[in-house]
Amino acid sequence: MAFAAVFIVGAVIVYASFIRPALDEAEIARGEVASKGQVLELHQGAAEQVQSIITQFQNLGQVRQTVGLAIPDEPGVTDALNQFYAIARNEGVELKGFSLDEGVGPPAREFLVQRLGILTVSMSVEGRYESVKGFLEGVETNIRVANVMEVGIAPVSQDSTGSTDALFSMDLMVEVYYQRTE
Amino acid sequence: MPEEEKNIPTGDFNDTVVFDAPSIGIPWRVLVFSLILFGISLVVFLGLKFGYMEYLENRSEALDQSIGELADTVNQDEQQEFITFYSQLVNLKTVLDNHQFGVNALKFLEENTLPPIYFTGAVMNVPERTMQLEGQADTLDIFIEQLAVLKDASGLEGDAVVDNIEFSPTGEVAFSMRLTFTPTFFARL
Repeated sequence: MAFAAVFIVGAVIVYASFIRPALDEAEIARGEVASKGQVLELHQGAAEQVQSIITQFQNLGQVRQTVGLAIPDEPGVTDALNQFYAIARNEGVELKGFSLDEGVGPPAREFLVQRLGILTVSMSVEGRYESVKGFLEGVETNIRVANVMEVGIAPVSQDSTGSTDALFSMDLMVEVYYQRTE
Repeated sequence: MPEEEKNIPTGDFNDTVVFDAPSIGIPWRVLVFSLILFGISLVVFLGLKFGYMEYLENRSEALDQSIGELADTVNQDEQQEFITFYSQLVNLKTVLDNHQFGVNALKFLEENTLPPIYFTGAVMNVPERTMQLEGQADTLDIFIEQLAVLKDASGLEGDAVVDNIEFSPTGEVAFSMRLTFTPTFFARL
């Protein structure tokens, strides 16, 4: 009977000290495996969807090109300057000054969306009123999206005020944008 | 009857043997049972530790590997290109929603300025929808008439706010005033 008692006590000790903790450990490990299985399933579905979207996106060459002209994926300072210069030439105004400051837009609220880069362009042009006005309209309707922040217009010479040939100078502060790739 | 005879057990000897037999078997059975119980507990523990746990760990590692490999199924460059394009689209919509046409203010002045009035300077803040104007009028009457025209014009939020008026010896009026446009004024060309 004494041996029997030893074995029973031994069995209880094995259960309490080894089997029970091992069961708890196994329960945790099983939970981990189950959650990883779910993650894998979700990721598989997501990867298929992403692949499908990327395939569709690659077929949108024309749209990508147009969007890239409105908001390019690099600062494109030279392009911006060329475009403003072309508008000035078309409208018959003289580009007198051009300065540039680079900044970053606010963080996007949507998931995955990367923030915009902002080029703040300050320009001075000079020309007749209609030309100066045409330049402002040209900048605002340019293919590369530009938001005019500040405009200052004044006649170059007070003596010529009121004359149709009077020269005006216009100081513009414009924001143009590019897509940052973070 | 003698005293010794009284203490001699009576009855059949075989009956006494049959009565004691189960009490000898029970301890053995308990011993075997406890041994089996102990053995089972050891087997269960070893099975859990080196069988089930090993299986779970291997399965977990295999899943980790599969998840890791899954990331490689989508080309990273293509993924980045797509994210950039998606960002461009979303940001373009935001920028266009807030796009304003400052040139509307110049057109507004052309339509709502009396001929004898001329402006000598204009500073416009498009996001704040304000324009600071400086100009001259031939007479005070003309300037007041100009204010009346601006009051009736559509596109202004409130009246023109006159900051300063100066009279020249010849009767001309130099003025400065501030216009505030309505929120939708710059929205469309």
